[in-house]
Amino acid sequence: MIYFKREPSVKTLVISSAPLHSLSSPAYSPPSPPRNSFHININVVDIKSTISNGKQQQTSSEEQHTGLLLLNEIATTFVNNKPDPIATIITLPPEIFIIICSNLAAGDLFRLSKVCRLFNSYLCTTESTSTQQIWRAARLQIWSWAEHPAPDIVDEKSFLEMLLERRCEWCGELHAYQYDRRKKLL
Amino acid sequence: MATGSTSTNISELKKIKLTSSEGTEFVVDKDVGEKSILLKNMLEDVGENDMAIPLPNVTGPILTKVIEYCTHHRDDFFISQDDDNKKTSDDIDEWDSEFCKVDQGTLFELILAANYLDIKPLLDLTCKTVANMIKGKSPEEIRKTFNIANDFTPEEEIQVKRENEWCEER
Repeated sequence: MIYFKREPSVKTLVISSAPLHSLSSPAYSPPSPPRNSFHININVVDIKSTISNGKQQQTSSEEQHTGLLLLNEIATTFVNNKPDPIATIITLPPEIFIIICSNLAAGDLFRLSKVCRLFNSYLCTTESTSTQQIWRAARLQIWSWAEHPAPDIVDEKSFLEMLLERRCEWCGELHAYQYDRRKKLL
Repeated sequence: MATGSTSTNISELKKIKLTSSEGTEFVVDKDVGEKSILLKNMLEDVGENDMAIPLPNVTGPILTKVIEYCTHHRDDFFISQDDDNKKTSDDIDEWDSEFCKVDQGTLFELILAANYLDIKPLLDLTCKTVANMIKGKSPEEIRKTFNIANDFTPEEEIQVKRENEWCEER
């Protein structure tokens, strides 16, 4: 766990993902020059070892060096990731879109894919494994027992279309069975 | 920076300090803060510390909401992921659905915050709320709801429309 402090403001930045041992590893590339675009002067204030090994290490210059490097990285991502003034459904990252989709039934997904290019690309990219997972999940909502994957010749979306779209036995018209989470069949 | 008081004797009611993106400081009970897996892991790594934890991705109003959620659910045992039968979007309890009655901007900010702070139940709840806003709507209605521009070219639009038409007639 590493703490950095931005000066002169009181705000601090924390990096949690980097395990401490990675700091002392020599795998780091040479320091990049400070970025001009970054106006805040950054100083490493404190690098702490985990409490688990009992003693707190002194901040060595090497650690400061690698720490600064890391900080540069993080600061850039921080600046780049600065959220837009208004978050919208379009600006949500794809992984969130996938979670939202996992709550939707097949019919909703088909309609969602017709909303805009972005959603269409999320839902109609046959090569994408995430796309396939979304459709597979929608299929399992209806036929929870059909755990086998889609046949090799079709992608999950087309497979689901094939399963849902069929001719009416009574009138011969092309209908679709529409499914809903609550009623299963609408 | 560990020059703060060493009043760790009363360690059972530990507080932690969080700083939102504007620099506002929030003091919360440790168990509330630990609903966030990100904070929990951080605190485990860092141990006793008086330093405020900065959350540069979370604004004050959003952090307030997140803390409200975590405080309300502080005694809940959060079920870990991969619990498939929790996946239905109808079973949102009253307090939760009331909690989600916010404007869309706030809702999406909450999703991002829950994702960043790794609070799975809050992420699920907010995503379910969004899913419920999509459910049963036509593409045009979805566009209206979320203020999405229809950016298909006319040709694409015709093609897209033709695909599984059955799903639009409800």
